[in-house]
Amino acid sequence: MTFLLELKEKLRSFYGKYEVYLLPVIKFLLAAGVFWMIRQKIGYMERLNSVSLLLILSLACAILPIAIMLLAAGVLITLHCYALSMQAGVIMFVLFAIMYLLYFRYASRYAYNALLAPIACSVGIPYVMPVANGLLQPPVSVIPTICGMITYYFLNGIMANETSLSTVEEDEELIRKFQEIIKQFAGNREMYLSVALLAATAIIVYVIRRLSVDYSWTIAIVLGMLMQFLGYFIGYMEIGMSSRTSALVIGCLISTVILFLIQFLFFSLDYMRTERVQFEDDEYYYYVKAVPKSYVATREKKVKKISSRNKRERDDDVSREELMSDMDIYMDDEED
Amino acid sequence: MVDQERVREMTKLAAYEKHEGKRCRLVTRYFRSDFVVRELLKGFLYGTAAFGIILLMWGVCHLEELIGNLDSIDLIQLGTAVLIRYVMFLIVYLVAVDIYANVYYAEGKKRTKRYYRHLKRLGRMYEEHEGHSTPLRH
Repeated sequence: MTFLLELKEKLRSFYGKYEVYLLPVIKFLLAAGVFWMIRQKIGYMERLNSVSLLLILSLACAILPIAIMLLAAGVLITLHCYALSMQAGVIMFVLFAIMYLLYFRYASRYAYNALLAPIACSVGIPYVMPVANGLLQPPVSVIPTICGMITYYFLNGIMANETSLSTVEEDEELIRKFQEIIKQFAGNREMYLSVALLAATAIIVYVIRRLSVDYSWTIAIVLGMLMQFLGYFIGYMEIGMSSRTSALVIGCLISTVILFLIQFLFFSLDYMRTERVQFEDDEYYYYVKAVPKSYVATREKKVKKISSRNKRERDDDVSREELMSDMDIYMDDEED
Repeated sequence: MVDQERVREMTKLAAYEKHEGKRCRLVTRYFRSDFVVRELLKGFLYGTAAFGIILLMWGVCHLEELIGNLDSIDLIQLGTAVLIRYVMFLIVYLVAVDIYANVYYAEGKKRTKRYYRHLKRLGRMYEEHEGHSTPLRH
């Protein structure tokens, strides 16, 4: 346990020292992951599939605000859908416009949830998202996660119907394709199940972790995962997707491990940021880097055992008689 | 000679402005009621636009049905149904916007007070050290 606590402290200190380099690297990896996923899933526009283009875009996103990454992902998805079929592109654009109008113009702070949610879904662990949202963020953060999840299900629908969507249409077929895409999207019962469970779990986890009881985070994780497992299990049975049960069990187990890792990394730990600011007064220009004290105050701790001594120390011990003989001191009775 | 205490205060102020500058400006520019009404108005416009788009998508979906039954459709009934849904949608959305705006403003007010406290402390430091107040520029 002590080792884990030391590791946690070292990680925090490491992040504090190298945050300026680590943050762009994390953003780059996130952007690369998102763009790569888009390319793999719906890479219909050949021009946008160039690895070098995606790398350059990821590098740009690493230094730009997270909202730009979201915008870039949105543009890429819309263009790929447009390359498949004009209708799919238009509907994707409309979907993004609704998301922006209703939510993202208010709070782009949690925009990365909208990027993480499709990644989590595509690797089979969407169960991490609502519990992590409830643990680390306020309940409102679940909305971008829902937006990300809706986008994921929309793209799945596009992929499932790509053969019929990619055929060259007659004029009267234009409307039929629109209808096909919208109906397929609006009738996706798995999406409704996921969205409902996501919102409910995030709110319940948030309420539990704020309770003033011992192990509130652990209780929140366990209950959140249990709730999702049961919810998905019953839901899949209801909508006739019982074949997904094994994936559900494995996904829930992996998600629980990840959530305990999140608890280990973030529980009662504030990753304060190093501030870099500049300002001026009448005499000077100031370029200040303010490092949180906790990062520089940690020192190497040495444990000194005082209960048991090693052999060398014992050998170095000098008895009273030896000391007296070394210093030519004799007791009165001996002198006599 | 750089005054360390003063630099500390100025750093806190600059960091605050960097992260909370926008919120601070909004909170100082508007009263709470004005700010909430402004957000609600914006919410109304954006909500109406979003509902319009959703309605358009629904219309496209049911285009054949609508065109086929154009003569027999009771337009007043259809209009009322759409209007009821629009009002319900707006009520839910605007309640959410109202909560958001109030929380945003209250939090901003609290942070702005903290900012002004630091600003006053900085002003006192200038007065104490130089005998007169030197304005800070960011």
